[in-house]
Amino acid sequence: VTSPSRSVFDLSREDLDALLRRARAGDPSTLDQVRELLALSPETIELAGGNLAAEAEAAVVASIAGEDLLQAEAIRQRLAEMRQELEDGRGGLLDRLLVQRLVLAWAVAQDAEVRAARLPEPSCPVSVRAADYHRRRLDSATRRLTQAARALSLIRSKLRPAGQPNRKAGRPGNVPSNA
Amino acid sequence: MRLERRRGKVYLYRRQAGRTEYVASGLLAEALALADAIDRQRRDEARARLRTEQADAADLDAVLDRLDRAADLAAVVALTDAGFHQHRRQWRRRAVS
Repeated sequence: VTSPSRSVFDLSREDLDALLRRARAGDPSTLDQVRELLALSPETIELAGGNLAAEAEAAVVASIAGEDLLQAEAIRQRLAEMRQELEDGRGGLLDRLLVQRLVLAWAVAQDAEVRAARLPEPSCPVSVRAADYHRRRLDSATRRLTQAARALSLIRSKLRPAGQPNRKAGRPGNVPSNA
Repeated sequence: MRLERRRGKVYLYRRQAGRTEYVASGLLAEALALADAIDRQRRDEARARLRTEQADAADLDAVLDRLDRAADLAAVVALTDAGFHQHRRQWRRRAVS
């Protein structure tokens, strides 16, 4: 991260990864930058994260439903139901962002599972290669879903106000994380 | 497979291990050539479909990766500001000195 005044979404992947690594490791030299980012975060999450989440949802729906408007609408409604179920009304912007990420990761994993379940035609080498590709894609989607679930669980277990036990995350102790 | 017409007759040949070999002639040659063409077209379509799916998936992954990074960063920021740090993959509250 070179300048906290830049949107986090303008940062290069390397910059973000470097910041994450150092902050995760408890590098105190990142604290100022992290705090400056935090000062920006409500707007950053709402504007950039909110837009990004909406963009991601549109991309996920288009990827699964294609031009089928009926399926697209059904998926949107299902995602909205899941969001409602996962959001308990006590979370802030970060919680909503993590819920949206989890819901989209779930949709992508479901889609990947359906595609991977298609049987290849043994006589067609391309079909066999496609089946292999879809299996790898399912693995990747499952990893993304697991990471999204862990991140939400972590934030809820650590940042819940006292006296509000988190039913989903279990004990409020130290939780392994990929966040 | 390659269909050749000579003196009013049809012959089908194929390349096998760098050599051209005769397969069939007449109606059978035409039927085999047609089946081969259909099979090749099916493979081409499957290949094109796979390429499109892979490109679409790469675009989708790019958007989802950005969302993941943004969410991870926001989570790290929130945890760090709340006084946590990560030690051996576990988030712990920083000891107050």
